[in-house]
Amino acid sequence: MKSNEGLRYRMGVASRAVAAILGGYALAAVSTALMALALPMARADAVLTATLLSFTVYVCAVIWVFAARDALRAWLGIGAPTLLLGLGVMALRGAA
Amino acid sequence: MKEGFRQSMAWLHTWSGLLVCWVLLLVFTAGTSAYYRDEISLWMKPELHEAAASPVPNTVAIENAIRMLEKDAAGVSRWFINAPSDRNPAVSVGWSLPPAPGEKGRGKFVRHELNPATGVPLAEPRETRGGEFLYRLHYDLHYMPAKWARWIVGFCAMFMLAAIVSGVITHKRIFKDFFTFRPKKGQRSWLDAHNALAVLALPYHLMITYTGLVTLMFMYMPAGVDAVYKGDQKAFQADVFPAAENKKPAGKPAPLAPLGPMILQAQKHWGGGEVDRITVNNAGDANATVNISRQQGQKLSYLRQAVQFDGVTGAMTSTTGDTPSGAAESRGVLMGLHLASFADPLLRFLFFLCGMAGCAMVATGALLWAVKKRQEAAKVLAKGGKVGFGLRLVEGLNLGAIGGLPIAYAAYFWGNRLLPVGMEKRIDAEISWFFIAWGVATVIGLVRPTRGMWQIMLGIGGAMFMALPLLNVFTTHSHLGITLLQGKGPWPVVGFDLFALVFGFFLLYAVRHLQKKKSALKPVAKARPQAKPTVPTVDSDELVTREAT
Amino acid sequence: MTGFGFVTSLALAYAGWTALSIGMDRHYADIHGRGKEPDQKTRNVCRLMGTIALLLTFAVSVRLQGWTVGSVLCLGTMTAGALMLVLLLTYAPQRAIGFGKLAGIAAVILGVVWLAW
Repeated sequence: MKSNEGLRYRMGVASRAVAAILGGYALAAVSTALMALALPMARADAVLTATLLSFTVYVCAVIWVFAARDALRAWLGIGAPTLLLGLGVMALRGAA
Repeated sequence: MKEGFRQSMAWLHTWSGLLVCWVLLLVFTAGTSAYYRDEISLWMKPELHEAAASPVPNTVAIENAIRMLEKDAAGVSRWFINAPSDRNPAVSVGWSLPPAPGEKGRGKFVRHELNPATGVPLAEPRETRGGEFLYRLHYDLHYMPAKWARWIVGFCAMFMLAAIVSGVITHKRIFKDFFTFRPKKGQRSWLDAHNALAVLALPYHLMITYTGLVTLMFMYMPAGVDAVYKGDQKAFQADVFPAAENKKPAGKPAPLAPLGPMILQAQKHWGGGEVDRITVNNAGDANATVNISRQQGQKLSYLRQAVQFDGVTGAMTSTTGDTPSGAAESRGVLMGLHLASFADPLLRFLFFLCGMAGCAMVATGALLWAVKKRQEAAKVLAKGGKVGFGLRLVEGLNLGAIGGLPIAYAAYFWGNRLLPVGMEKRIDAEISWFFIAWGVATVIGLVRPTRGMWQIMLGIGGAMFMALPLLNVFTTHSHLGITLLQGKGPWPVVGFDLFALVFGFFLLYAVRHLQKKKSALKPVAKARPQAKPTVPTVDSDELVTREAT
Repeated sequence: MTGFGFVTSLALAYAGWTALSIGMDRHYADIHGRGKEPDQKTRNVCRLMGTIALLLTFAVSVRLQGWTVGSVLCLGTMTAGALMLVLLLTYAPQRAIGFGKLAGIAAVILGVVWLAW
């Protein structure tokens, strides 16, 4: 029983680590892309602003992943916004 | 993880900090030393010390440089001239040699340091990367492709950012414990020190980490550029860094107009300011152009204004960088904050102080974890059990990094003085001393992480640093006896020697502190022979015993 | 002269942090004895004086180096002052009030010299 719990714990940690490191990056990247496309300023300036803010998004995502009550919530909190923003990016890129 | 928010942040803080702390210690120590990289480079080139003591106005130095270039680099398509500044007393010139027959691209880049008063190349300073090595070390590491190193450092920087944010969230008593430091209380003292160093310089730590990421942000986060420019890097570069166009040589010879009036015109356009870098394209040709950029001076943003001139008539043709956009200025400021080139000597020293606090913060964090785990393992150890692998590893790495890095830096400086001046591959040799010293220290640390070994390593590091000024007496003509006592300078060299003395003394003081603790604890242990089961003598336990009683 | 200006701001920062620390339970006890707590009036006075001193630090920094660089200088000065105070409170808490007052007086004198020069 103890080893089972130990294993579950480790899996949980591993899952959150992946969500934070990879999922967080994905969320940051997609929000950067969306901001770069959508901000109402000259192209280069939008890209600059979006990229400058990307690390803030990333670290907030990491905080979320480890603050979430369980691994499922952690993944949802990253996955859902990433998906939505991703759709937004595709829409804007298609329109451009 | 059914814990509260603060607890989960405590967990995150511990792991995001611990997993990368040894790399961060390297990055922080090297980066902090980089605030004074030009001074370190000067110290490491004793051949330049005399020139550093004879300054002239920049316009004179540049004219001397042009005369040297006209003689020794005639016909080369582009000259670079770096005016003397607070950080480098010589005027440096550089140019690319034409590529060897059959080779493509640029040939070897030649650089010379000239005496600013005469334009005469200074005695070949010994081959050394100087402070530049330490500066590059903090983001390019070494012995690996720069791209790998930057990804590793960036990864660690994100971990650090997570550690800072989670640390602030989890520090419940951040205001109550603002000024708290309780020494001689084992684990609590380490925690107090870690907290104080972190909180009191918190704006700095947050700034330096975030701006570090910003410096390489297009590499770390290309998503924005890709989405908008669809991979057209050139177009993006052109939008952000408007460079003046480069003309091809016309093939018709024409004398280069004097630079003095051009410099004055540029300064008039800027309303003051000093010249930073001059680039001469196609000198001696009808299509010669001159680009004069402005020193950053005290401006926060690292973006430079520049003025372009026709090289033959001396007329101003265009300007760049006069009105950057808000976003560009923001990035400029963030990068400027990281590089700190704008800082005057006082502010630079404050940055350096905060950097040292950062190094100490990382070190105390790592030590705190090890001490805490030791204490938790006390019961197991008392029954004759062994320390877990994780703790053993951390203790070993701690010794290798915290005890070993001072030795590594000292070895680099010792190598600079002792390696023969004309030897082949001198730069690589000097750098290898750094890594060999560090490698040996790390291996020893992993094998025997005892209190005695801490004393030995800190002692060696301290002795090596304190001996540097003495080593100068035997190996240079610019030791403290001349530079300080006779008042001849150069003052950066004096500063380096004095810092070496103070830092070495601090390390030796730490050794003495460890010795005193050891002898102070022995009577306590004897006084209560029956109260506790005898704890096997593993040196770092003594802190634990004290805390427990 | 920048030198006088900076030392003025450092003295102000140190004095300000001292005032704020005296208004805290722990450090008030360090100075006056275990268990003693400052009353509400003392607390308010300390916090007010401390805040004013720190604001003046900011003002001097901005006067020295402008709004942008001055802000950076202010943060560095406050860090340096706080570190000094932590050492004093740890190793000689009884002298905290005395040194704090000294710093305040020094700040005034140095400030006058700096502005007049």
